[in-house]
Amino acid sequence: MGERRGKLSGELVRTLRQSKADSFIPIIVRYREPRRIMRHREPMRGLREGYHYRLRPFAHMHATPEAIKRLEKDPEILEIFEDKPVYAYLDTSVPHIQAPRVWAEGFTGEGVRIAIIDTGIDPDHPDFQGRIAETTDFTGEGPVDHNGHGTHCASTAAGSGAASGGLYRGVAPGATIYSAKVLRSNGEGMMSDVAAGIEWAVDRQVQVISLSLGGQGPCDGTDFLCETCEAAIERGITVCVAAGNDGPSAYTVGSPGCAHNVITVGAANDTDHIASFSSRGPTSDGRVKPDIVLPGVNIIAARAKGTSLGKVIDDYYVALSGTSMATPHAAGICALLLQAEPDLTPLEIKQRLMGTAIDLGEDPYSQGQGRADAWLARHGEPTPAPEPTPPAPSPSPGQGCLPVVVQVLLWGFKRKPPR
Amino acid sequence: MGKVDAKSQQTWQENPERTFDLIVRVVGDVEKRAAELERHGMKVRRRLRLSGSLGIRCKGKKALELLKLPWVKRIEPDRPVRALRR
Repeated sequence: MGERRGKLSGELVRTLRQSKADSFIPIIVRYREPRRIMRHREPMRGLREGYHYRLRPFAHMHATPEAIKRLEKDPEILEIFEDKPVYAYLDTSVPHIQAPRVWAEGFTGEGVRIAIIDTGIDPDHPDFQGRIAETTDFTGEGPVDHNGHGTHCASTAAGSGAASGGLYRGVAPGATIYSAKVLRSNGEGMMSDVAAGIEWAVDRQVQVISLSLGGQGPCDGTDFLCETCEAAIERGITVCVAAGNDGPSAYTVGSPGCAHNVITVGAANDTDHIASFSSRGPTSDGRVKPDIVLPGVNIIAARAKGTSLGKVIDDYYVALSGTSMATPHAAGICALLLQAEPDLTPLEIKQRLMGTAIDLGEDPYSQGQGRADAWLARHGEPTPAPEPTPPAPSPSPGQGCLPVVVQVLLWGFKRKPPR
Repeated sequence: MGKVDAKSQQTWQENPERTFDLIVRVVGDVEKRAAELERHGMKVRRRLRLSGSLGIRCKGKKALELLKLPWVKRIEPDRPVRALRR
């Protein structure tokens, strides 16, 4: 660690020495107390303000070395730290959502069929041994994952953690995996290929589909990929979709995350703060999305052989961030619920996840109903249905800030904090 | 809702010789409709039964012709998607 210089932490001093003049460094600024949280009245060149914390007078920003010098001279600022990455290993995020408590009851997703529709899968990874039922390819590259994204997502949903002695176990480690490769090795594809993957999964009678992919927002849920998802849901399949990574601006949930009945998943970190990148609603027709949030920041899960996506941990594991990483957490919870209660419909499962989610105190266009929890989804206590709240009028797209909304409460389950 | 959004239609009119990837929602049997499109010289990439759609590749002028077919319900661009890793 470097030596502290005035208001700057030692690590930040060291980073500044190695940084280019135009690079934006993630920093945490501590203000003098008491301080009314407010943004700089005039935008400062080289400064992008992020999250302002409420419990303590801290603010998260990205700043160039020159802007950091200017901040240093602000008498209201006491200290400036470098914001360092933290890692939510599956051994952190999975217990955080209380999946092991559901496993302890005998439900690991065993026998439940999950389709991961993505960049393919590494079929030789020890974490999937004996549990990949079938793979297919719609890209022309073959079903093996040469990108790493699909393998990571599959292990978050259903990896056994075998290559880590069980440490990096997914949410539903007993589930059976179906992998459809619809994104090429560069992580890109076409909606028509995704729809073909969904049809393939429907034909195999999977029970859960996990889609850690999407297009640019906003959308209104009427495009053909959204309708394909709705058709899968009508056939009894629960579909989990990533909200997107275009936050914190409003109207950034893309297709198929804007489909009405899919479970749209935003990302939070393992301390339940919404990730700034997580896409925000509303949809272009004014509906609240995402539906829930789940851990999606620096998630360590399976690494496909020969890939180097994200931060490589070792031969078998890699750290990635995105709503892509949050979505298979949701798919895993769905699998746990379906093993325990096979007759649940997709809409009942959605209501379970949303109705028992833990309110993080953020607006619904950021958190949906809150952070979902496996144990609460399984054991949430029924409550009388509240009167539906009329939806807020549709705001016009392009506004610079998140509009005030009315939160629509779901019937069925009472929220309570994790024990 | 019309068969196509105004922006797409204008793009095809302005670029009649350019090739587009499109989704065509059809009335009736998807396989039968696919065969009809192939007879018209269009490349059918995907037959999508769940949504009653066809993923096709054709020139802008052909897309405009498709709009006249009574069994074509809607045409929209086949848009790119990507893995949502940050």
